[in-house]
Amino acid sequence: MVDDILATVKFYNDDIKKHIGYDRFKDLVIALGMDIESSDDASITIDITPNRPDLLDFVGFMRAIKFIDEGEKPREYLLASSAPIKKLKVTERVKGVRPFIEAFEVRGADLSGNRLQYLINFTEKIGDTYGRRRKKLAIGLHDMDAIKGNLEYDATASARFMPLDSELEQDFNDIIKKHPKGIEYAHALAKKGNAAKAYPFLKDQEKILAMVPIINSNATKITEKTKNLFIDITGTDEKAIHDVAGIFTCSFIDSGAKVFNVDIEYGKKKAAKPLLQYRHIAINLNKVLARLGIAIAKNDMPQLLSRMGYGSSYENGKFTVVVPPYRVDVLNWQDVVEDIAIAIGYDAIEPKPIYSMAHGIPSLFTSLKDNISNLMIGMDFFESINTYLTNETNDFEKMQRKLDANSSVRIEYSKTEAYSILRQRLLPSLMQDLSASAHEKMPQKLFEIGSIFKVEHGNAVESTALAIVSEHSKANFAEVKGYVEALLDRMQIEYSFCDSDDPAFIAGRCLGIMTGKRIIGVFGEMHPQVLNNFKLEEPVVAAEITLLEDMKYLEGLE
Amino acid sequence: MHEYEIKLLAYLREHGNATLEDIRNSLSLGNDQIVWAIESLAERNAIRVERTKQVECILSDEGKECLKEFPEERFIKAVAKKGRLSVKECSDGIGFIWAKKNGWILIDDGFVVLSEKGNEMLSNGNYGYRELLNALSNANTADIDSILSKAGQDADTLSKKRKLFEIKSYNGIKSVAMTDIGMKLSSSDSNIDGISTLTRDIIANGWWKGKMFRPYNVDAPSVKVYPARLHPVHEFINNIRDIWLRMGFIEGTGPIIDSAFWDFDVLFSPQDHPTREMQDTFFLSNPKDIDIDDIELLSKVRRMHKKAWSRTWSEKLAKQALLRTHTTVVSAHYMQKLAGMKNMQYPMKIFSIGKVFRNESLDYKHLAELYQYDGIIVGEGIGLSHLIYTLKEFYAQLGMKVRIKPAYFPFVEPGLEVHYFDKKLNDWIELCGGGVIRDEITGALGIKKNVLAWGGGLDRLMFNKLEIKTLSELYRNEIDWLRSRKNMW
Repeated sequence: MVDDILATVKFYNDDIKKHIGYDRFKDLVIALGMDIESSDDASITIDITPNRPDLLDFVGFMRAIKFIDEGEKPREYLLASSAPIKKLKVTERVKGVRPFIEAFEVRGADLSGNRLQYLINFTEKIGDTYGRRRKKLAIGLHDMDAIKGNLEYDATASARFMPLDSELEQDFNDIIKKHPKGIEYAHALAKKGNAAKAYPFLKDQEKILAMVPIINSNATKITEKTKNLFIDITGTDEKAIHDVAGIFTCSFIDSGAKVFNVDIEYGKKKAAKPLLQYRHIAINLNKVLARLGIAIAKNDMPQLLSRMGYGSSYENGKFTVVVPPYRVDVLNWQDVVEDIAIAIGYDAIEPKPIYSMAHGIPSLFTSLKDNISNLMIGMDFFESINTYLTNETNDFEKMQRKLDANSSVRIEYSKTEAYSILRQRLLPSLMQDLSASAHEKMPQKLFEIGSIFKVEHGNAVESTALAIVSEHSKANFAEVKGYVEALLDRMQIEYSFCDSDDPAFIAGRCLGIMTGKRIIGVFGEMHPQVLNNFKLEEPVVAAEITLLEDMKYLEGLE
Repeated sequence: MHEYEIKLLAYLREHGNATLEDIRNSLSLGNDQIVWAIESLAERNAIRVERTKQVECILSDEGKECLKEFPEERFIKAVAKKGRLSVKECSDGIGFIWAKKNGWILIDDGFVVLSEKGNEMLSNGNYGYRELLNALSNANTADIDSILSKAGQDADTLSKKRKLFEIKSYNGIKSVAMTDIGMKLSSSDSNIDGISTLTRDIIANGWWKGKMFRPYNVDAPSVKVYPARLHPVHEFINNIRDIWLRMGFIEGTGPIIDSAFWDFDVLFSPQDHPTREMQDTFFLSNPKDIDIDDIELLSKVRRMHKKAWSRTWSEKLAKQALLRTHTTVVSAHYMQKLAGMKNMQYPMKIFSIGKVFRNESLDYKHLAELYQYDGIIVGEGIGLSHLIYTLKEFYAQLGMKVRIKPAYFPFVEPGLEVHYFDKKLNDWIELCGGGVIRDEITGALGIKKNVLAWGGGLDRLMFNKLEIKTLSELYRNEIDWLRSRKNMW
């Protein structure tokens, strides 16, 4: 399983203690499925899973904590009832650039204490994670009282304004290239890797309010004293913008502020945004119980649901769950099941054994590997394991072998320079190992059983091979021939030897190994040039055998 | 006690104390054998050793050759044999250089000929350097200093310039004396005529009957032995494998090179998810794509993505070839295979262990290749409570007490994580993630039963067992470590 990308949030202990005991709070963080990254006397840093952007905010997080702790009944979220005060016109020019926008007004907000910091962090983190580093969506916060008249969302190739915390007017083109935020978020406006040609921006009757989604204007900067806010959410994904508008709206309402619609005009179409939508999901109790593997009394369900912030009703043998607007992660009934388990507490779920008479079966591949490993250890060889990723120099050049570029499995991009292909042969890995231990006591005898890779007719082929090396002053052909014959004989492989012209070995001191008409391996004395290439000073004898050509995976069921 | 020690003690019992010289002359033992016996007995305080500074002249390989003949001597013999030699043929030889310094040769019109002094040298054969070297190699400690001071500059030339010998001084044995412990030892071991090495004849003919065996010094140092063995990572994997096999699981295997379709799309991971960027995943340029043969599965997966994540879903992105990022993709392949099989016995339990890949900048705690274990249980009437039991049981067999907490992975609902408390780090450490596979995925793969799934990295478990702190330590192949590492179980 791949760990998901987490966002962290930092809350101050004093703020937490106003709502709940600190130790109880820490327990509930874990019970909710989040992790505590660190904590000290002043603050706590929490990892938030990417499915719960609503918890990136202090208000939203404490809402979830209070539900699960006290089981208080979910409230109903309502926008302020008056008609929209502001209008926001969307021009045609943003269509190919960043087409979607929602906006709303907040009145009577309280940003004193740590609240301003929480709000800014919330905005940044949502943009970075849920908003895919502002490409999918980003949020702008403005001081409502600094905005004159109605607004417009437009795009242009060039314009000047004074960005946040700056004292100079700058052009959009300069900001994208030189301003730290411009450099960081230029990708959000780039089209298929090319730099943007038009920059979306927001303005009021007099001035530019923001270069979207890069940076706001200094003119509408919010402070701890700001009471009224104008908030815009722009992006390329209409549903995600709608979801995030819901999360922010609920958060402001919970903090005691009032939220007002803004009228968005797309040409002749008009819509008041945001919409607060409650979804109703029908739940079959039997399916819930089967998924959890436990028994829950029907009467306990409403309380379990309300402890996760859901409303519910029961009619004709079916539960209907009411999902609040901020729970954007709930796709269907399955997501509610997890919340029921959380409300019960994972600790309180009684573990149950699965009774079955089935016996374990090892795979053919690992059985083969075990058998051959035993033989090699019996002949005094140590096992080594090496990386599959390598490069042409190690895999071919140092071995004096010719590289057929089309036959290598090649990676597109590696952060580590030493990696460009998957190994096609096993022996170079062991030569590397000898090279790294050249100063250690001789003899050195190593073996490896592992995967090798090649491309044939445009398809990747994975095989399993064995390689052995023996390095010491008296290593010679007869020694390695002895190992190879012993191995093939004990493995009951019908084999014959043939001439080999493998340039990794000394001509006339190596042989190919055949089964039927197929060459499966080679062994002999390593060429002194190869030894020089790996900086080895003692003779080395080696063998390389393909054990399973073109692996047949997904075995064990027949 | 060893035969040599018994002989030495017997001698000292008679004489009380003796010089090394005396012992050498009296006992029929070689010098090395005597010195070994003295050091071994001294270690046990059976004798007291008086030491003295010793000086010795040690000849280099070249010096040993020169005892017989110096290169310059060989050189003038060769000149004499031919009458003259061209300068070009011999100008870079050591013999030439020193013959010229000694004034044994003359250069005449590009040819080397012997001088008068050279001819004289040839006829009487007394070379001062050789005589000096000879005297030094035979000298004892008392004589070396006087020979060196007499030779003056010549000695420096031979040792420093020509590197023919070195003077080494060390603390040598002067004399030894018996102690009380030695007296006791020797009296308890007066019969030194017992059997030493047990031979075929002694055994077969029964000659040992009625004889004593000479006791050996069982405290003497042994020859180092390095038992050949598996690499610790594979040894550990085998142990993990055994636990799953004992719990009734079938071992599965799957491809390392796979498509993004299987690695991500089938497992409900949205196409714009950050882990699908080139920064984190190894995509391939050869082969670039892997075709998705199962058209029905393709359209089901497309539908599931469009419904849950976004209106666009790209088949081109899904076809990208990559190095698998988790072994859960192996479990996904098995789910599809199971769906197509009839008359199987459920619950079906399958595990796999294998390499996974992350595009990382390598350092001591980041590697591009790591091992993971993964498992699934497919059956009816099984859910979260059964998964918790299974995982607790697995970690209990590794001696680990764990806690289970909720967690998020796109392909499971509900999801969980298993943590254990690391006393050294004083923190909870994640061991694996898991959950019940979403209906969207089982539906697309054609499975009508519940699937419990989990996966975790092996390194964390190995850290615990091998007392290793960093990843790079774990995957090293230095032969010294492979030879000397301790058992982990």
